[in-house]
Amino acid sequence: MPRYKQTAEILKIMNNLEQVRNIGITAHVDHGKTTLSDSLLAAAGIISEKIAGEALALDYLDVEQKRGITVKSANISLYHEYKGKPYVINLIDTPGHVDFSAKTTRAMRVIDGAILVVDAVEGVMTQTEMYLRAALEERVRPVLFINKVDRLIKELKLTPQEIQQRFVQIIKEVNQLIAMYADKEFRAKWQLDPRKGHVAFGSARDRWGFTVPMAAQRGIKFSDIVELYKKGRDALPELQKLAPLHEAILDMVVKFIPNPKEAQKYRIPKIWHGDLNSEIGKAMLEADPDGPLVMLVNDIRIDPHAGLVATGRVFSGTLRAGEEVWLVNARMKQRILQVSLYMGPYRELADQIYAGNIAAVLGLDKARAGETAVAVEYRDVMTPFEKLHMISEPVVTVAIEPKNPRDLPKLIEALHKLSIEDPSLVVKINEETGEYLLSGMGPLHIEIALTFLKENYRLEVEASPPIIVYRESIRDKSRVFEGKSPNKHNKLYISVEPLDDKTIQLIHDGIVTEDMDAKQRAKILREEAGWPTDQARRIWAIDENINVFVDLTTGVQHLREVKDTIIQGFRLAMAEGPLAMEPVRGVKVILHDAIIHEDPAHRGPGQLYPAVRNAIYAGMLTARPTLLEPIQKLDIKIPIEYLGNVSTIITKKRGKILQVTQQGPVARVIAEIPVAETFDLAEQMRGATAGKAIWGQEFSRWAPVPDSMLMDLVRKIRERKGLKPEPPKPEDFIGF
Amino acid sequence: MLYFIGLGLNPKSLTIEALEILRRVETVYIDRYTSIIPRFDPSIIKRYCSGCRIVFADRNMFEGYGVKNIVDEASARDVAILVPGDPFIATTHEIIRLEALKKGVGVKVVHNASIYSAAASATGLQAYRFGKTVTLVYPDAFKPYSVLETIRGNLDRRLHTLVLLDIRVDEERFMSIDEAVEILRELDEEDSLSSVLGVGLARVGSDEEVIHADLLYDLGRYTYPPPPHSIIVVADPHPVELESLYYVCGLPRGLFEEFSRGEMNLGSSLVVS
Ligand SMILES: Nc1nc2c(ncn2[C@@H]2O[C@H](COP(=O)(O)OP(=O)(O)OP(=O)(O)O)[C@@H](O)[C@H]2O)c(=O)[nH]1
Ligand SMILES: [Mg+2]
Repeated sequence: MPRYKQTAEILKIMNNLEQVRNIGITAHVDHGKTTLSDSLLAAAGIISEKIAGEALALDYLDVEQKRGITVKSANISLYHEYKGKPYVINLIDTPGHVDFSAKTTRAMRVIDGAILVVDAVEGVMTQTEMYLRAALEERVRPVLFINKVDRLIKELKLTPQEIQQRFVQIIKEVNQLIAMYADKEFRAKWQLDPRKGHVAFGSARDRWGFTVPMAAQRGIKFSDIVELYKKGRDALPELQKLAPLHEAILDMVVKFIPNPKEAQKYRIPKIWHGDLNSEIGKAMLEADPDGPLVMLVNDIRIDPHAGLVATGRVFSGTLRAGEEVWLVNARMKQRILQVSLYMGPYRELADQIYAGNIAAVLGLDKARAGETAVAVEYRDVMTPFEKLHMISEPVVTVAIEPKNPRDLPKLIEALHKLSIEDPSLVVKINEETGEYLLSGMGPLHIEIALTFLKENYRLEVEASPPIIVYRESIRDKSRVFEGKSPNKHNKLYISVEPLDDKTIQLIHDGIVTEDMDAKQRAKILREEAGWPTDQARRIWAIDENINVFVDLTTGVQHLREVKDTIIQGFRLAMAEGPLAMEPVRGVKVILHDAIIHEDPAHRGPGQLYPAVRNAIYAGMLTARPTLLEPIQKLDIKIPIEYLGNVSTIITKKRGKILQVTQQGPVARVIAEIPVAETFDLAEQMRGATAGKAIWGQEFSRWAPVPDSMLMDLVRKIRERKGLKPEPPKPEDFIGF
Repeated sequence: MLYFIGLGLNPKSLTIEALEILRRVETVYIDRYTSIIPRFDPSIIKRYCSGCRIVFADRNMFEGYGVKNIVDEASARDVAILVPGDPFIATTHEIIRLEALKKGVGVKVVHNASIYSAAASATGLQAYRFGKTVTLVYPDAFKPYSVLETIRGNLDRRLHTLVLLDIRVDEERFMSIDEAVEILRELDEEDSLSSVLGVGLARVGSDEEVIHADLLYDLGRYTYPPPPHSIIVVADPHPVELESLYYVCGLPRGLFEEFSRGEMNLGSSLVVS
């Protein structure tokens, strides 16, 4: 029963922030987010009168429908009346599968509340915890929907008592997580109390649901529901009338999720570390529509007709078509060509959208997910938002090529577009072999990307079996090596050493960055990671794979002029290490002294890149170099009798069991295994547990491969890349 | 034995001594990247060293491991390296000579004219008044502010600067005088060189040689044959030098008169701290 509304009417409601909610739906994979969004859209979606009559359904991507898995986030907006007052609810349906977690993480930044969906049968799973934590870190307030209750009734045939026990268990676990991950001031305040209506129970598929207060008010008894189910499918309409799902959920949202104005007061200080007393700071705290424009883009989509559509939240000011804005990351001005709001799943033009709302714009085609657009006058004073803490890393790679070589330009363009829409998909070209390498969070991520190439771009692509991209690192400090330029007139004296874990953490979390204030950075490194003062102050570069370049020289002639060339040489060396030309991670490179040629013609990149590289490589090769491999965390639930079988598989796969807990007849196993061993994991688990295992996996960390495997692995990687199997020796880089 | 032979500035400037050596050597490496000689035709070399192996060398052959290969070869037979201009003016080749001497391989150098000497002889500017030479490189990897520092340093000491212009044979990019003037202007943020005289030299020492003197920043206005080009930044000219700039290099009459009367004392007006 969609509601047909004039865009103007919706905009009017959106102008009054008390009547707006920005929320997301998040859960472990398959727990029913999209089914819930779908039923909300069907019951409360708004459509402009203009397109009334057209089909109303979440416009699924083909792949998503075929596989029943969400791979993108989708914006919709809903209309809900609560106590006679109209509300607009901007809702984002996010993917649950860990391979698409970047989309979910980004969505958290623009919402103020989240409906956490938990499958009543599976209970709290890895990604339940992961996303709840991500939400809490962004100060996004959770409410809970316990879904698939129909299965407890029909399949598991639990008694009302047992069902209630299960609810209590789930709520308890979620509350523990909230206590663990929420900031101090919200730990108690955001605890979920079912009696107050913070939790809804129901079935997204069958479209019923209720909260405790709603049940009391409407006189819903759980036994009635059990009875109705006995009547079979015919009873569903009655059930839906008795306990309409959208009412249970949306009442809960309106009541407990703060409106944007309230939320920005406490969320801005967390997600933005600029001066709160500045004009921009004050305007964002107040969600002031008359303040300077600040919009945070969380999602980019390439519309075949409209081009690049940037969706995001206006934190202050008013978004207007025709105005120029400054893109903080892209460092350029661009003009907004169109502004729109979401009406149901569709975009509808608007003249302007006020602070506090979610909007889509056309014209910002240089913007990428994570971009901040600000009013041009404030370009120099805008502090960027805090870096998002990405949960996963692209650790699985395939080499691809078009079946028809003539399609290569088309393939390059298609890959470019895919990686704009999904920045966690990384495309790299191997210059030497002419290979196109596509990296993603996991096998599914890659598979979906390949499907997109085929279905959306009509490209037949040949893909290699998945490859793991390792990292090269070192375990010792090297002595100082002399790196000579080919003309021998430039000499750099460089040593390398491993970065300590704390520094790696600080850089990974975006607390220490290359472009932050140097004094501030030095202070953090000194105090938190114990860096010596002279080194902490003299950082020249921090590269994307967490390596740091430190300059400890004094009074070297012409060094200033070649600084950028040396830094670039460092980045190139870090992109492909000496062992197997895999990216380097966790290395500190120190420049101690240098001799630079008198004339600029003899100290260009052709001379300095090799000088930097030679010294670094020689150093690394003498400092117990190794490969780091990605390790995945597994969270497995199995009937207890299969515990033995599962631990056998994990041990065989070089894995480690970290924790086993028992919940009734179910064992929960937390384990770690190398990603390299996961490709046939699903099959093996199914075999060993008669298909009864439920598990989630997520990226955990990088760890050195066992020494016994190292050289063999290095040889294999080198051969795959068409290099001679033996890695170079330090002497190869210090002779000529 | 390893011979370093200067090719001079035009295809015909090989010396008789060089020709005699070419008759005996077994391999000739021709340096094709440190500079270029306009209208150089390698078949001339072939004519003089019949039966020898001719190799066109890029940077890799004269640097890094390439050096070792050449020296190894020269320890067994006679090898000549042909270099535009005078052999050791290009920094690169010095490491080959040193490597040869370290390995006990005999070395002989055959000199020729170079832009260094031609800069003085072609313009009439006095050889002892040249300061540090510098190469103006394309500002893509870094902004070569040091070029400007070198020029200013020389001017402060009343010395001319020979500015060589970037040659990137592998990229087929050869900096021209008008490009160079643009780049200098951009680097010269304080506009300290706007009243300095300069000389633009194109294809010096060849039949197509063109030389113009004018205000440094006006040198780009003239038409020159294609590169190699270079520029001289002139410090406070001596009266005889001024006459040479006028009669030899075509300094415009107005500037000649202005500078003769000493209205612009460049040496002192340029002490920019
Ligand atoms: N029995 C039952 N099945 C449900 C219910 N809700 C969803 N499902 C089923 O669970 C499966 C997954 O549902 P989705 O809505 O796609 O789950 P999701 O959380 O959006 O999944 P991802 O986005 O891929 O993480 C589908 O087969 C649904 O039909 C429910 O209330 N009861
Ligand atoms: Mg979904």
